[in-house]
Amino acid sequence: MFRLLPTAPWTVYGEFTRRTPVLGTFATYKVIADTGSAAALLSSMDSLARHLDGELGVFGTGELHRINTRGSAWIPGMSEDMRNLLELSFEISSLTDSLFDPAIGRLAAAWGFPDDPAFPGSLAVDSALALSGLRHVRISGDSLILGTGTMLDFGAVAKGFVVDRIYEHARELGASAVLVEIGGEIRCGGDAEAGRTWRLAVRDPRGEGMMAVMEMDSGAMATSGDYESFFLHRGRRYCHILDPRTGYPESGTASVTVVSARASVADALATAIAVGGVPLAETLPDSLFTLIIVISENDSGAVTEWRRSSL
Amino acid sequence: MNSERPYRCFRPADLAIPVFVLVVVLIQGSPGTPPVTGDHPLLEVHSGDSTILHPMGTDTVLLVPGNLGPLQVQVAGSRARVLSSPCAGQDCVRRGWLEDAGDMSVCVPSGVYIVLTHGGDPPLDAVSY
Repeated sequence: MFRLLPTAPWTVYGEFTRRTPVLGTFATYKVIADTGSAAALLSSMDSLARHLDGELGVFGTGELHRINTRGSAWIPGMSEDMRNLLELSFEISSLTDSLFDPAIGRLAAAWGFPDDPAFPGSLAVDSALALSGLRHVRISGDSLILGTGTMLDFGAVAKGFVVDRIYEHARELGASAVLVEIGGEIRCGGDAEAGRTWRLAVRDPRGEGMMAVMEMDSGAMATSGDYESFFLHRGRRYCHILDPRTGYPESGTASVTVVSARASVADALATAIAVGGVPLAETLPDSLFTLIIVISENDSGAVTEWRRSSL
Repeated sequence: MNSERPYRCFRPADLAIPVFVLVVVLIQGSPGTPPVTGDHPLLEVHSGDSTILHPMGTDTVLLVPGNLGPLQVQVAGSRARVLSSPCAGQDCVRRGWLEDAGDMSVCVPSGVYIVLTHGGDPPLDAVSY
């Protein structure tokens, strides 16, 4: 634990960084905060991340696990986080023509993502597809109602959601400026007096370096790509991003980066655009994003870049 | 008759200490004044898995926790050095002042190192992938 102890009352602010494993990947927290409270602040951020990981993560044993292993369709006592996550999911789903859909737990399980991906066969895909989709999900008060066999998987939005929660938590605890990054999903911001501009980059999906570098005072950035988790079957590449319309992995989109006000929105949109491609990105309302970058690759390996800014 | 002046709980000279402290706080920055990290050179202080960035325009002495106990790192006149360390070898202290970008002082037993950075593009804060 790094705690900078001031030798005089004027040494009070510093920038602190912590990197820690969470949600099956790594998180980086950067805060500008009072040196006397920075260690406690970082620990509190870490604790919240681990709590949300347990409750909402696919490997957790908390609320998501209880929902997916329920004994009945009616699940009372939904947490505020679960409710917010589901309401956001419904909202993004309606804006993306249902191309973002977290009720595809059965499909993800059929394909073996994220642990042991393999081609499941068309019968297994069709069976899982019939049980998938937000049309099988209802919210009633603090209760969740799920269709028989339907499972939730927030892999397309959980990291962004947790990033937002941790960012807002740190700001509420008094951090002057904060950056939270989990598995490449980023949220940053701070007081104007802090004067901190955050320098962010987007990884080149088919190369070694970065394809874009930008500076932000505040905002969020998320990227979905076909290079993070995939397998090859009979010479064809199958990535972890599933098309909720067909039940099969998307193809043709190498990566999508979305800059938005909130990481959860950027994360969900990036996944939906990875499925829907440029045609979907062209239809989204300007209020949802600041920048969209789509990198597409055709069957012959030719890569094209498409950008849209709302500024 | 005792001519000695009676003991006084508060004397005018006592004001000097809080006034001095107040002046220093105002000069060096108050708790509501986060560090300026724009184009100014920075001192990176690494200890364990954490890093603090300190603007070189602010003279101070930082107390940095290390494996053996705290080290004192002095920042003065846009230079920085390890002022004191509990380590046996004292190599970090003998390194003296760091003045140019890239200059570094390492205390291996403490698990602490400091390095001056400035010039060129600032480092990336995060990568989206």
